[in-house]
Amino acid sequence: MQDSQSPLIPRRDYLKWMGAAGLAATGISGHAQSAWPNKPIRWIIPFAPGGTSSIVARGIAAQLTKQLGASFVIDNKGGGGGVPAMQELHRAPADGYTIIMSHIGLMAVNPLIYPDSGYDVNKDFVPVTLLSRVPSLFVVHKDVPVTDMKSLIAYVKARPGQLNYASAGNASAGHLAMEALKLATGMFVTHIPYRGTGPALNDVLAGRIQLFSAGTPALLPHIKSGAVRCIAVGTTERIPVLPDVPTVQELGFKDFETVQWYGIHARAGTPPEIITKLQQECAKAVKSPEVMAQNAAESAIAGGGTSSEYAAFVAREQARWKEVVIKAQIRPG
Amino acid sequence: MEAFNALMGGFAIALQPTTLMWGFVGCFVGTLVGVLPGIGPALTIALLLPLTYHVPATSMFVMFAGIYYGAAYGGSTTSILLNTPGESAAVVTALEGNKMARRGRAGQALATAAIGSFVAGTIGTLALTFVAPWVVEAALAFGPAEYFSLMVLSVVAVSAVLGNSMLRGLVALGLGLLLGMVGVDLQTGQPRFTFGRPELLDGIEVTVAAVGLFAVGEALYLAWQGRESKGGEVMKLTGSLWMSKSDWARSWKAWFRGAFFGFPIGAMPAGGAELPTLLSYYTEKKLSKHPEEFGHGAIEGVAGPEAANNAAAAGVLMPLLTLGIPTSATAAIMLSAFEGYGIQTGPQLFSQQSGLVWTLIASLYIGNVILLVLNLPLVSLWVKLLKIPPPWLYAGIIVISTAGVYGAGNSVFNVGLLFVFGLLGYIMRRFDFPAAPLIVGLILAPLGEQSMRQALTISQGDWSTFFTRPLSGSLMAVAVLLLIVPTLWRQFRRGAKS
Repeated sequence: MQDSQSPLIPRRDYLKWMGAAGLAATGISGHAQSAWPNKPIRWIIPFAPGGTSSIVARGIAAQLTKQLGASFVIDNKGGGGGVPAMQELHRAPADGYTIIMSHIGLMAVNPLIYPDSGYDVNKDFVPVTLLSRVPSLFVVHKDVPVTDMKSLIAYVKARPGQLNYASAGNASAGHLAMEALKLATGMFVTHIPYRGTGPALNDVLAGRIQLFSAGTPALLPHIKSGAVRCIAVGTTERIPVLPDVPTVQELGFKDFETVQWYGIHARAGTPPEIITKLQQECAKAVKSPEVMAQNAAESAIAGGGTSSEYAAFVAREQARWKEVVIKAQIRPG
Repeated sequence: MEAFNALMGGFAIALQPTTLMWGFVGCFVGTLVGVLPGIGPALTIALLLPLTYHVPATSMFVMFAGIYYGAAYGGSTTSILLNTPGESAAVVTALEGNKMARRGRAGQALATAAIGSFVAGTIGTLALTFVAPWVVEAALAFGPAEYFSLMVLSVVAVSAVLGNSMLRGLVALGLGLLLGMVGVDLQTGQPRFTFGRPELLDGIEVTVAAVGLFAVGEALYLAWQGRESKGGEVMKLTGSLWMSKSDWARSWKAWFRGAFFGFPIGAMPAGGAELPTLLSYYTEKKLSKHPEEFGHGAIEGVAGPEAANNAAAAGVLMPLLTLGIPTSATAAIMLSAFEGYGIQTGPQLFSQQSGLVWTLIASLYIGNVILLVLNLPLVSLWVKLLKIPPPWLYAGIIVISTAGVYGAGNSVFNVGLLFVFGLLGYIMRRFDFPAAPLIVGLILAPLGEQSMRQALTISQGDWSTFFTRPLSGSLMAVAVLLLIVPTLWRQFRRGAKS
């Protein structure tokens, strides 16, 4: 087999080469990898171009390109709940030249709702670092006569089955957040899924739908204009852009946390030196003025922690959403 | 006249030589993108986005406006000349446009499309300038029940594109409706007809189906015909390329009516540019003094849908600018481009960043004019496309369609789907089934099903919601009238004659 693999190199030379490579790997470890990156790195984004995540990725990719001297090429591969994007990475070699933007849907929800995807998120991929967290907000239309969570729960319980909430689709971050809130508070509102945040927001602004949960970028302008009222934020601490809005935890629902998060995953088997280097460069990139400005505009919380921190975070999120997905019987869409 | 003064300020900034140069670049690129099948404005703007950070904001806006309107217009060129629409919104244009080209009137068809696009684009931009708040309010009034009624109305309008045989037309429509069912059921999350392919979870992409059925299908059909019947296929160009007096007389009303359909529907979150072209075509066919020409190259059937298409492009900008809601892939990318320049779209946009916004709107007017200036002389150039030997031309179309479809989603699966639809398109051509109803069905089925079920969930299962809501009820009434009155009228006339 060896001969057929390298017909141009005589066997003796081939063995010598192998020995040298072995020495390099054990003796001066890291030397071989220090060449990384010596060609462009393909960064798969599991969304169609143009969304918030793509913008975040483009900003960070530009920084990483500047820092590492190898270009980070954004490769948008949207649709199918991100499964095709993950399959693409699964097929790529574990050399650190193909990475993916991981998020709540890919890592925590898809394993539960797409069991036939052909990969195992925890075994076939390794976490690199968390890039950012976008707070999710819970809002009501301005004509709903409630001002806080307590009055909302009372209002909903007095009208069983009559109120609706919109989401950007089945198993979207907003759907999960609202189902988590329903489980925590014990109230019931009917889910009306739409195709994307835009159409959902439209019906919320028109008052046909009473409740909605989405990330800060989509909702902040409408909270400021008074079209919707923000009842609570899903983060563990209050957010600077809405200092008067309490967190759901403050309202007495312990351990409640809903954020939309974005990070980087690589193929399992990628040399750890590469993972560490990429993580360190990402930590630098998220602190650059350009990315900080972008985060401020989205009121996103910058990440940049170590791989093991991200691994623990993902594990926590997987446990949290497993419960919600099973109890709320969420299916793809 | 506050808006007027602000707009003049915008013009002063946008009308500088370097800015205009970017406008020309944008219009040229946009037209090219529109002409090339499968490559859309969304992909182009996404690719050009990294460039934007090196160019001043105003120049970039003019360029975007050019790409945006250029792409909306460009799709008509190949529809008319080669019967290969580059995107789904140009499918209806191909119906009459290509027939006109086959009768040697390609020049007139391209001219009425270009001028109609200009007229509708300008009307749309004027509406954006002066009546934006009201149109947005009206668009907000359009909920799931209203969408469903609009879909019912559109199904009635499909009758205009069924072709010579009602049975074959309905078969194609039915096939389209069935294919529209592929993908995840939005309400319950149940995957349907996906055969375990995650690529099919979001349904079949309309652009892939349209380019496959028309562009690839047409090429395969020509290949099958081979050389023997070539004599009949070569198009001759007779007489002047320019529109005659009667062409003008028949076009101008269609332009305005098309714009009237396109703008409000484009402004609706799930409206899109395809439905208004269909409704416009239906209207023109019904109102025309020459209904017998429809199906053989009626100029109104090009003028109306093309105007509707471009007015819809202007309409899409309305929810984007005033509510910050992107309603199309292109709009979503433009939103991120705006954010790159620090423009926060949304309710306070006009009050907080009026300078930049008015520059953008001025850019849209300028982009429209540049497009007209650029495209009218190009008509004679495009027509020369027909002089390329068909084997070269259609082989090129297959290559570009494949590259375009692959580029749009980086998906090999979609390329396979493109050729499956190409084969289907060939079979349909071969056995004389019209392809347009299939595309319409593919668009209507998911939208109609989704809005019906959303409306019923909101009304807690009460079907009367479609009739008791004023707007929805009116649309339903119009649909029923359109379905019944012509038949009754014919019966009545027959009775009176005998």
